[in-house]
Amino acid sequence: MDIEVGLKYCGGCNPAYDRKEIADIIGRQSGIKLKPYNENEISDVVLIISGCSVDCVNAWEYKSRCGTVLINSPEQVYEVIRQIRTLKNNIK
Amino acid sequence: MKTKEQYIESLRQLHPVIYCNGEKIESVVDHPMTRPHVNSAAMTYDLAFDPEYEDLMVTTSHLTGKKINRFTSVHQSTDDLVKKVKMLRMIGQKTGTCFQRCVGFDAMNSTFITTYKVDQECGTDYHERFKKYLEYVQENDLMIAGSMTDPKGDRSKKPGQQEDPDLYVHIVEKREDGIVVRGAKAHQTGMVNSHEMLILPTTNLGEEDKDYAVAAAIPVDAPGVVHIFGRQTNDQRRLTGDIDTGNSEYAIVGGETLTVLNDVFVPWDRVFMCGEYQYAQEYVETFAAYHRQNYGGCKVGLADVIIGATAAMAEFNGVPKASHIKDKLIDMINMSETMYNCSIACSCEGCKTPAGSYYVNTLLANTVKLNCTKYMYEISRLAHDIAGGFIATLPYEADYKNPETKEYIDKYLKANPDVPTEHRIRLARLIENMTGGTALAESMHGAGSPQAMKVMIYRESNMEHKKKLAKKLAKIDK
Ligand SMILES: Cc1cc2nc3c(=O)[nH]c(=O)nc-3n(C[C@H](O)[C@H](O)[C@H](O)COP(=O)(O)OP(=O)(O)OC[C@H]3O[C@@H](n4cnc5c(N)ncnc54)[C@H](O)[C@@H]3O)c2cc1C
Repeated sequence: MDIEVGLKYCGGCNPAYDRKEIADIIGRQSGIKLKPYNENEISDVVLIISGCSVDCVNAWEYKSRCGTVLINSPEQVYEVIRQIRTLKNNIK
Repeated sequence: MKTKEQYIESLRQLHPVIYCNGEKIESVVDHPMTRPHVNSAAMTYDLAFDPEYEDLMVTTSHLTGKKINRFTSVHQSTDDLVKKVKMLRMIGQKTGTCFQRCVGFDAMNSTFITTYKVDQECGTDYHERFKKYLEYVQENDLMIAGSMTDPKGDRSKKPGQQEDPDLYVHIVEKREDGIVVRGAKAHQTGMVNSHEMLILPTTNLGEEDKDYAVAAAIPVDAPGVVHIFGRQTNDQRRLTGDIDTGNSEYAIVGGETLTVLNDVFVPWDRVFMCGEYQYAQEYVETFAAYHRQNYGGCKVGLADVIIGATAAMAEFNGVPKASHIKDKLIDMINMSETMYNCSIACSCEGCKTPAGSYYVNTLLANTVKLNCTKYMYEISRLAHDIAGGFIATLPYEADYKNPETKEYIDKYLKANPDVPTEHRIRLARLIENMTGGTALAESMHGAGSPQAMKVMIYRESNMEHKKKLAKKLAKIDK
């Protein structure tokens, strides 16, 4: 079963890394297609990419079926992929 | 919300009277002197549709519950105030110059607060009028020029004492259907590519200045409105190529105008103050505090670009590892982030107003802009230091493009062998554009001259409290 991941970026005022590049890596490494978060289509998981540790996105505003995964540093890429996979397995 | 394309198209529907360098500009979208400013403002529309930036660019209208461009919103929390600063920083990083839309944003937020107060105390209905107008602005995603500054004539005199009464905008006629205003507004950022202007008083007023207590929304192409476009440092370079101008896409500052209001009629539903002189001072101060908050956002975004350009230039020059260069870059970052700190702080320490909206901490907002009047100059000075003298002596773009001289320029202006000379020249022109002339004067006078901030900082600081603290520790009884 394919998992749907809605991607939400922070506003990018002073990102400590390239958020788009990290989104591409997560998509490539996990084999999961990430699509822009759309409030009218509830996805399985919401992935929030914050450019720094402030995490200014109001995570609770973004609805999903299985949960929200948050990344604010490139070092977390593999952990984030693991979390998405766990959520994916949970809905199998 | 309007897309960038819809914004540009909407400008084509307007017909403002604009003079520039002895000619009339028929289309701000197509004229090379105004197009870069259109591009810069268009960024505020474009980014609202970009998933990478919409978290800052888009918010929810407290009037309609609909998604709106943040530039048309009234702040509903301190989080909104913080997001405003972050948004301004982020856009400044992309345009490298003023994107103009904050002035109207601040004028609308201060009008929201002031009209509420005036209504409460005078029984008028300006606030309801203004809310209707705001809804119209939000629905149509309009760009509003924030028009506070009058030409002011003799600075030692109040509006009513001036030899020429038109040196401040004033009401010349009250009619059944509206009012007629006369005067001018100076230094009007983004005016020619806005849809409307929101005029408000410049200074505190006495009873004798009653007619000068006027706030109103006026379309930029209303009958009687004449715009005279300002000349900026090196602006005609944009007519002759894309290197020497430095930032060919977005130009420099915000395309300011001297906007003359020749007996302009304003219907009552667009009038938000009409004679309530007692509230002018608070109105001006509220607007000014919101506007000063911005400078630790937009100017920090610009500083990010200047610092990046300077660091890259050190590499292009072959000296990125020199310890004094690194030290100066750190100083630049420190000043820039200090301005940002002040903006974030004045936002976090904002408060709810009786009108229900949120307002910045006045004292801290004034520290933002006072620091900016110094730090942007110092950041620019360090950029000049690191970039080298060639930013002042580079040949013309035309000579760089001339086969007879190009080879010499390529050969003798090369530094780091891995970097093409053209890259070095382009970066130098960007630094020149962002760190001198008009760009610096904006950091000094935009949102008020330094003395205006000093007056506010002193007034907002509780000096008696500070003296008491000192006396207590020194064991001084009285
Ligand atoms: C690039 C740029 C963009 C701008 N954009 C806008 C805009 O979009 N909308 C808008 O409304 N305004 C805008 N402004 C105007 C800005 O707010 C004013 O420039 C600022 O308030 C200072 O006014 P002034 O330029 O008339 O300077 P002046 O008032 O002439 O000040 C010059 C000096 O005289 C001093 N001074 C002035 N009056 C007195 C006095 N009574 N007593 C003692 N000293 C005095 C000042 O402190 C200062 O040192 C912009 C300005 C710039 C430079």
